Amino acid sequence: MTLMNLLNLTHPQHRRRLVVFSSGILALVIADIATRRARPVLHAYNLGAFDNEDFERKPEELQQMDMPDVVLMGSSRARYAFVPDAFEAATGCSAYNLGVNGAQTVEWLVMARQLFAERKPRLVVLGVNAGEFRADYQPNVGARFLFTLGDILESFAMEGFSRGVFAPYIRRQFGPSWAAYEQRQQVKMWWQEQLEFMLPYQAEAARSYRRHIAELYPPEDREGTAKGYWHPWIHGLRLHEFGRSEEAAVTRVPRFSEAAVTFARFDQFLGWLQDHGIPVVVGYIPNSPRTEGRWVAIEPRMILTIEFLCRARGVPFLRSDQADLPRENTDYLDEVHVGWPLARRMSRRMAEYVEALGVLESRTETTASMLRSVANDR
Amino acid sequence: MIFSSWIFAAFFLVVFTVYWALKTRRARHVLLLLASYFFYMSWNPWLVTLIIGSTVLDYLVGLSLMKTEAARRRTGLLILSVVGNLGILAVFKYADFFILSMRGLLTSLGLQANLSTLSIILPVGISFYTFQTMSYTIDIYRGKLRATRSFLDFALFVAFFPQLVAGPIVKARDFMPQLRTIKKFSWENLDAGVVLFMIGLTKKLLIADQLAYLVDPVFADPTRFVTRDLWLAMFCYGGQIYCDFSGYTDMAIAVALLLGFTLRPNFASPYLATSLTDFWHRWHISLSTWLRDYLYIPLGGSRLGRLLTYRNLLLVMLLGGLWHGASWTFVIWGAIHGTVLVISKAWAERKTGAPAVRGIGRYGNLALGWALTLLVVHVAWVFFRCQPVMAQGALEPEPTTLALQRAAYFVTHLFVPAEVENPVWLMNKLPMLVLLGLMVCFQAYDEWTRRGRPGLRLPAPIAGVGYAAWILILVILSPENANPFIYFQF
Repeated sequence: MTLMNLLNLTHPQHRRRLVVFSSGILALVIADIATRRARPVLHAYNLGAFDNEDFERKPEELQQMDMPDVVLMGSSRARYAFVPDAFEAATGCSAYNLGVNGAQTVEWLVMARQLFAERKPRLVVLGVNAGEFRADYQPNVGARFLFTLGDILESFAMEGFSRGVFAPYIRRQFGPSWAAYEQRQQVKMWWQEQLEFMLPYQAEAARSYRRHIAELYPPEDREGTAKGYWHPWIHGLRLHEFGRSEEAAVTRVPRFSEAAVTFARFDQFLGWLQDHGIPVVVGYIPNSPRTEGRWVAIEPRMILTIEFLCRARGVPFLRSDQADLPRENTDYLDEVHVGWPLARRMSRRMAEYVEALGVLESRTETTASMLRSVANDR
Repeated sequence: MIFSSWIFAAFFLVVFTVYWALKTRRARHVLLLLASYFFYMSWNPWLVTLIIGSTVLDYLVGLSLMKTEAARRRTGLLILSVVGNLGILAVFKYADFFILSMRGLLTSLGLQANLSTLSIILPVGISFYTFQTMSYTIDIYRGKLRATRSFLDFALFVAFFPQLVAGPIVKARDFMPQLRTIKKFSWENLDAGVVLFMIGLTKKLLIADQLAYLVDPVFADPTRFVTRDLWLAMFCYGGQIYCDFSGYTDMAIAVALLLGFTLRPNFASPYLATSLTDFWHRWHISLSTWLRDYLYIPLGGSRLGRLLTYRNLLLVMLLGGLWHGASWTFVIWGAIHGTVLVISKAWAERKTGAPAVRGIGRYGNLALGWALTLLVVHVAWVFFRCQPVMAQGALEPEPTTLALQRAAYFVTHLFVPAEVENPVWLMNKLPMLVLLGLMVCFQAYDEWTRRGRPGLRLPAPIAGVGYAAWILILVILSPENANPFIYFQF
């Protein structure tokens, strides 16, 4: 009834309301289009876009290529530790690094569902670390980049409701529909720089933030990765990541609980792959010896739990301890991410393990010769 | 769940839609009551039992008062209600304050005091809803109101979510009659409600939360700042608390209006007041009228002679200060207001009978009154703001004396230049002055329309674009995380 009243345009008040409403909506639409057009400029203020761009870039890249034989999965630890070339050299099978910053058990599961339901790799190699099984983990990164409605509801059922998860999910749904909201922080910083005469401190802060992003992610590094892999040391950027070493030095010791939902999610992930006939091998990516020392109270127990879950599902698990893979603090980018030489050694070791298991049946003569050369290297 | 959060927007959208879809008054009231309890439980689910307890007590006392004519029994019932409500306040809000004060007193007398605090969580809005329920029983006792038989209506009056946690304090005789009729949807209410909500949001997000960036570091350690910065921080805090509280009130009134209810205004351009009495007619009006009706007048008001009037004024302001929080700094804030009110009343009485000043002299008097009022109010705000700080990991707040020292240093060095070695450079002075200017504009416009002058009415297309720009500015400039309202702690 009331809506019908509003549509009765003979009443001057209703007519005014409609004009105000429609001109307001039109202005918001124009602001939205302007923001979309300005995205290349605004992007310079968006650290998150570069920090987590792999969440969007890697799945897209993988979908556009022929499904590789081996998909190497994990968090940023696997992103640095698993070198596809080393896998290919050792196994003769094509490989792709799907390691993504911030991805943990739930994100692996959701990515697998989205990417492997139709096209299956011959093998998934998952790199894990105790830090990805912390009891207080909430999948807010997944909610921000991956979740569908089903995923978010499942997360509430398993991890419980959390604003930290719900808010980024809503932002993701809302963002594409209203760029001016999604990009509001970048718009703000852009304006602060323009209004320097009035906001000198804010302008300086915005400018230094933009420069910081440009230094962290130089334009030449943004052009893409080879088979999903990128490492700063390859590009001579040895100091690139060390800027964060202070932050890493105080890396929180993860809270351990056998009943943590992260373990349940990990088991769900292994189960999903098995149900879809995708073989999986799990390898532990160790922290630097210094962090191992700090985490000594919980890390061995976490590794045991991970190994137990793998065994229960018949999934091979490689521990990568010091005897198996000798390493020092200087082999690391920071406390938890491996440097380039160690990454190559770790990848070879993992590939050998896979080979020894015989999960990749077909092998060419070239592969065999590569394997011999790897053995000689060691 | 605060008004300036997205979660509240989602909550209210659901309530608003279902509310107007329901056809019966009873169904709507059930919805509003459930929504109100849900709203309150989003802070702490268990503390809703306090509201329910208070509601049951005063509902039953109200019905019993209606049934009896016996004076002693009626007085007994009133005492039961007052003691019950004040008892809740005493335990949940003031117990630790009394314990700490007692401990301090005993220690200063050289006695051993092993009194430990109770560390009870302070229920949000407790001071507001207890005063509201007390007004109900007192009005029935005085014969100004008939008790309602509907528990649903009474529970809704106590817990109505727009004004539950930070007022305005609604009197039963204003609100209960509104529950007797079924509301009809009105486009005019929708227009006014949306605009008022946006004004409230602007005051909160754009002014109060931004001014806090300048205010917080100065009040945390005033010894690191020069005198000029102390003045600026003091006025910025005045702007912050006004925009924070009146912004909340605007949103509360707007939300109620969108549901068809009318709440009385709580502010009337208070910083334009030309005397402290005038200020209290314009600031937190629902509290000042409550204190007038239920404390000042029962104490005798101004009917018992000059000295008792002064006593009453002072007492009401001291208790008003204590109402705000369990701390001596609030009491001092109340004492400053009380003392200046007494002085100005005595001054006005001295002037009684003198010929009225006309012409330019009148304007001069008004300007002087305005400047002095503004100064007193803002100096008093320093004590209001300097609260004992709870250090991270500490079980108890710092001693009140430290907070008082900070406040005393602050006020002293407003007038005596502060000699600071390597003072902290206060940033963003110009943007903060712009925000203060914006606050003044809000008050001036409010005063303009309150005096019956026509409001701003732009051509429709320009108004539409203006609203869109307003929304964009709010979205872009509001802080990433919504800050709680200052008055929630009272």
